[in-house]
Amino acid sequence: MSEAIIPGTAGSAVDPTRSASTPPRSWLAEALYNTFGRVGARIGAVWIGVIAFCAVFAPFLANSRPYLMKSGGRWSSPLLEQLTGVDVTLLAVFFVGLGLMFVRKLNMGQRAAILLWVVALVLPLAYWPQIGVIWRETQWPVLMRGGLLLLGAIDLAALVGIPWSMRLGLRFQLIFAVVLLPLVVLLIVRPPNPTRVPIYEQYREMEAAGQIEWVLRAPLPYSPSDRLRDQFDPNRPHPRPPSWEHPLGTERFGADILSRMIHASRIAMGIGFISTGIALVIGVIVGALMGYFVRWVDLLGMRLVEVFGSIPQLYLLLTFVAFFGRNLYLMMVIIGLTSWVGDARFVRAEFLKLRQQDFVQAARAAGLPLRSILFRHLLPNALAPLLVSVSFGVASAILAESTLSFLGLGLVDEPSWGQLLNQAVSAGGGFYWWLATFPGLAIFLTVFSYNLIGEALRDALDPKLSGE
Amino acid sequence: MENRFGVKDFFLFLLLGGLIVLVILAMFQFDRQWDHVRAISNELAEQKRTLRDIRDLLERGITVSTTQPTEQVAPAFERIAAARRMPDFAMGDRVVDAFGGGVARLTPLLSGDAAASVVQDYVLESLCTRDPDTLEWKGLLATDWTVTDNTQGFDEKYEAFAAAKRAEGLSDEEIAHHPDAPRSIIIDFKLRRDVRFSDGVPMTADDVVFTYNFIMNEQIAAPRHRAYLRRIASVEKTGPYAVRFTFIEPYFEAFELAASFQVMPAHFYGSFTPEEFNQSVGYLLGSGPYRMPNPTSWKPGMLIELRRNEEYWGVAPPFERLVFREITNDTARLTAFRNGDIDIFGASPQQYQEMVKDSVLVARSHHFEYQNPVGGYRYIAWNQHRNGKPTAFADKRVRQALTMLIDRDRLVDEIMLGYAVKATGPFNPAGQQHNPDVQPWPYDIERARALLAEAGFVDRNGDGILEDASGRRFTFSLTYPSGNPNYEAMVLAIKDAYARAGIVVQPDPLEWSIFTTRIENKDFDAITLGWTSGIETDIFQMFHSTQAMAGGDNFVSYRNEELDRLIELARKTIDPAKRLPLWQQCHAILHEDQPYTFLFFPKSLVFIDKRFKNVKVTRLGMNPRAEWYVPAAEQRYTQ
Amino acid sequence: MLNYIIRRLLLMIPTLVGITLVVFWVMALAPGGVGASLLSAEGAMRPQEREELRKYLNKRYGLDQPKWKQYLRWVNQISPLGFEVDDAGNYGKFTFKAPDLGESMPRGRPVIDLVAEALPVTLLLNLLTVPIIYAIAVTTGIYAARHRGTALDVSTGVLFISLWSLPVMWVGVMLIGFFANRDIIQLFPTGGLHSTMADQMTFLPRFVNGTWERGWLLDTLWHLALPVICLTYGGFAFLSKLMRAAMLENLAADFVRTARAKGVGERAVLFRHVLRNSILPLITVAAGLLPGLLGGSIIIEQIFSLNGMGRLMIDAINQRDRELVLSITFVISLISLLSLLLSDILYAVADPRVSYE
Repeated sequence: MSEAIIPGTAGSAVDPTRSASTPPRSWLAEALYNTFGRVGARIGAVWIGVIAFCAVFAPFLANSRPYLMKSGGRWSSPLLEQLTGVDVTLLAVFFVGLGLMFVRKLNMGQRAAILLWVVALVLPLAYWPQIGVIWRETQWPVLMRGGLLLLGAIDLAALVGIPWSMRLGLRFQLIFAVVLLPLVVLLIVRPPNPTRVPIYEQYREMEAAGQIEWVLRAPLPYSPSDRLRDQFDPNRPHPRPPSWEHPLGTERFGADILSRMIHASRIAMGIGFISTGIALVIGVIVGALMGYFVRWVDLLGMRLVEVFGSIPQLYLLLTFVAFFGRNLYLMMVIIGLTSWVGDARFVRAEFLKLRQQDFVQAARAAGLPLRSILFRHLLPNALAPLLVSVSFGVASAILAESTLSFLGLGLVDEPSWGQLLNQAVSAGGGFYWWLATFPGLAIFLTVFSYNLIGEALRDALDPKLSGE
Repeated sequence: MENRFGVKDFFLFLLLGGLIVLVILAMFQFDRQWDHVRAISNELAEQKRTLRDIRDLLERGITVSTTQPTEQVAPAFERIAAARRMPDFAMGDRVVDAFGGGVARLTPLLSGDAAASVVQDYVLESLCTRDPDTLEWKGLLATDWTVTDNTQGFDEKYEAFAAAKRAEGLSDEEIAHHPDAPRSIIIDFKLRRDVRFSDGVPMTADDVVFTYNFIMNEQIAAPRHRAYLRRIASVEKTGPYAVRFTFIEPYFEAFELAASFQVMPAHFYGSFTPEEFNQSVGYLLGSGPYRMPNPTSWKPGMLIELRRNEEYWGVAPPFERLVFREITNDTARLTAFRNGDIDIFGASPQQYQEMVKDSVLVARSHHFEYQNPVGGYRYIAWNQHRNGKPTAFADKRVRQALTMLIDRDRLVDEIMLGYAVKATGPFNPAGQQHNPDVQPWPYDIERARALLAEAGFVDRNGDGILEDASGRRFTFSLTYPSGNPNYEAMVLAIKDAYARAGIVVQPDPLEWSIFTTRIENKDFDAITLGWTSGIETDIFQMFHSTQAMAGGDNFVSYRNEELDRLIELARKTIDPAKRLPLWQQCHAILHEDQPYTFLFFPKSLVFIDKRFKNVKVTRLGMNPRAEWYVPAAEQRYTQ
Repeated sequence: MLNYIIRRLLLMIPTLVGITLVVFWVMALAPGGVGASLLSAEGAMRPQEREELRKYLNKRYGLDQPKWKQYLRWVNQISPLGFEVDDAGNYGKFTFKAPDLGESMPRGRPVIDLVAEALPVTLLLNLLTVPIIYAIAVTTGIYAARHRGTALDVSTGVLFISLWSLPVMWVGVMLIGFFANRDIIQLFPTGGLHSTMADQMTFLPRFVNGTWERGWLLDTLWHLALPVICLTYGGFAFLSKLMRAAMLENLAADFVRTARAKGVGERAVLFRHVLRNSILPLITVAAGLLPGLLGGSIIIEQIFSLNGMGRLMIDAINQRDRELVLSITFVISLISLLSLLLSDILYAVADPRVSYE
């Protein structure tokens, strides 16, 4: 039985009766429009925008390396030379996304798919020299090589699959290729190759020695790991209070707090989205299966939901992290693994309600395959509570990571807001208010913004509650 | 629809709930009152008993003699007696101290943490103590001792005996404990006759023998102490107040082992089954100047409060109580000290620096910074053998270079804020094992680079990182215990220092239990940690090649035959005049070989409330609290 | 109803088994077994000592057996229906027996003792917070529902969301740093549950020799003030929103219209009719709050040095104390499950429309 293909809806998961060529907004866009019409959500969106901007442009905002420098008659840009693959990818995604906003003909889903494709294209190109090194020098050959092969396969699938399933016009594809080609060539010829032995103070030392003729620095000339080794002063031990050089002060080991906070926003957003994504995927699959196949599957599934739901999340998190060590990616996975329960419950409730409806019966009578019924017909109706849950989920993931860092189980050298808060509490010579106030404020504002957006979404999507 | 659950019902339930809560609170209050009443009646019973004893004595008739008492004041109390002669001396007040971690159990032998042993040292007593200034042994429970030294030609005698016995089929263990085996060191102690435990029962030689047998009983969960005492062949009673310690083989710390033997009361600890003892948390009773209010009832979470032993056989200590609070949060502990809730505060370098700038704080407390002779040192250990292959650190030149790449003076200034002394070896610079001719390796990047180039590490492809002949980059992971900001600061400083030379360091913090497992399995590149030391440190476990097996303390697999020979000889040499130069030679060898990069000896930094007088720094650290006192006018905690 | 309860209790068993599986295998698969007890604070122990200790521990706790055997042993230990085990580790007959939560390896004490010491502190903390949260949430919910759409309604809503977004650890640190700090202002103690002289105090406050003495009860409450504040503020948002939503729903219902038509006063309508029905969702949620609070008190107990279940858990995890971690997670999950069951039963009791048949 072949799958009935509804033309023009590939990528548009929502409305089976509309085609992509007509411009009206999908239900999703309508909901988002309503949400961000509210004041609360707008305020939240502003702050999230600030954080996202910091996350994308972090190396340009706070960096010990100058943008442009003339030394010994030669021009160079240490900052650009030391960009990492992630930096480049984020920049690419940002600019492509910006450009896509001006293209009217696409809907949200298609835009998201295009951005994913850009990631799939740029990320491996940015890392291709490192991949060779990892392949040769890894300590766990089976695990790492297997993982790399798996990721490679997924990436290839995305590269080929997304354009094929979206069927965009030829003209569009040409424009796109022309825009991206220079980037691709640049990456192949001169891939990002950041040094593994950064010496942050060398530029300041060069300037003090008079070797620099002209220099243009970043607005905040301190990298997050720059511990000011050339500025040791026994009368002013770290942490230093806020001053002109260090607007938010320095932390215990000498690094500038504002710089660390800017770079930490990347980790915060990353953990927020990836953990919530993982939780969403697991929750949706489990919930869908439970809601559709009642009886035994439901019984088993409910037990699973109860198991993960009755162990308080923090206890489970602590157990996982403490016993499996700390690693950014591991932590994302673990936070995701411990928060899928809510999503599963929502999806299950919706599916239970809808499975007896006529349109589902019709789909089954037509002989559509299971995944089509589940994901194309039933799931879009469950989107409302899922969206709300995603918004709150990101907030709680950021909070979970901060809590772990605060308890001393977080990341090591990577900057994180919770880690700075931990320093405010751990052994010190008193209460360093700047270590406690600013990172805590950042966490609070971010979580608050996501909660505001979530509340606004909930009000927009559920007419009963708004009282209108 | 019936009104089943009205608002009236709600308030009724609330009222009922409130009443129940009040009843529960009243029960609590009764409980506490009952505890108090019971404590009072216990004290009354004790006093009644003492009165009765005195009355018995009076009835039997005492002669008041004007001659010298047969037992003099124990020499260990000379310093306390001197403190008492001070003009403003007064008894009374309390000392409130705080531990940074919870104490899990106070029962001796079972507890592993340092906090518990601080408390136990006030309740249990040993045969002798060291004078804090002269470092001589002074008798406490023992009045007198004789040491018989049979170490001359001991090895040959013992080998002959052992060979003969082996021919008969005995195992080494049985040979060691055979009654006819030659013995290297025999120490006879004469005990005081007037020592009583805090419940009034007199101490005799039986208690000493009981303690030894108790520890060596395999059913008692004290494997650490057992291993420590395995050098002793036997502890025998040679008279009602005399014991003899016999050692299997010569060991330079033999006297210390016997002298610091803490005597546990046989009538108390012997009354429990091994199972009961192993599971107990607060069974603490001894002959010391302080006692637990109830020797069996302490539970973790309860405040640890030692009361003065009114029945104490020796010179009574001045403080009526010693209180030990538990404040895990460091900032909270500092605030507690600032508020006067605790009297003693051991500070980290950062805290100390802040505190000495606070004039109010300085005005109301003493503060001391001193080199603790039993304080330890910090080091970086380079693993020379991993996964069956020698590592890059197996080359002496690499280790020397790595030491020269660290500016230790800067480390002391920046991380310890100057409150540490640079280390050149495992021996305390103030001690006698330290070799004064050993000069520390200088901070010299060029010389280090030259050494590394000699060893084959050069930047071959211009990426700023050193590579060896096969092109592998010089990178290693530096493992350290997590949760300690001082270690973290040090590791980050080392990372940046090595980056300048082209070596990639990956900081690797680990939880303590995983850390120790990795060390045991020698599954690490380099670690940074600290060792404690003593008045005289025995470096056998750390640097002797036999200790390089799995689980041994020579976890870097360091081997040097000359060092081995020197260590073995030093351990057998009883005469300090001959032994100390041997240790100094060891120091020179360790300096040359650099199995560790010896970093520094941190100083002890402590603040003590000013109302305590006669507080001073001695050669053993702070002087014992029994020598302090608070003049009557300044006492804070009165009855 | 009884059928329902029995059915739920029976269904709890596979859930409990699932919980034990998850927690046990997370710990079993991780590196770093009982290492903590093998080395003391500064790491100076001789190798023979360590060997002795390891052999001793293996014999006592069966640590050298394969993992699945250890798991089964543990499950048998905690179940009220299983094989009896005597001290030497031999198995007897299959009967009802007292569940034994095991012994904490680094501390050598039965887990049940440790839990019994820690649980009252945590329960005290949480049981103090629940009424406070309810009191404030209910009143603001009612108020917001009555004055829907006004500035006050919106502002309390936003205020509560912002309170909910405040990270607990941040608030705790700031409160201690600013309100329990001699340098700034000393309103509250820095931590712990009692002052140094607490056991000398009388129970209730009174005048002693002319000075006012706090008394044990007030002293404990004073120490609990900051922790309770930290635990309560986050709960307002959810409950007050729920209350508001329920009241709005009921205010639009038919029976209210009837009551108003009858001539019943607005106040009476609100408090006698609407309130009673709106409070139902809050009752059911009450028991469900407990798991969340238990999780939140981990951080608070850490910051304020209170010896409750949270601290015990963190210590246990840091020491890799397997028995203790398993038992605590098990106990906490059991409490959560029971409280969920309780809330369902309460719901059925409170609302006659609901039936579980």
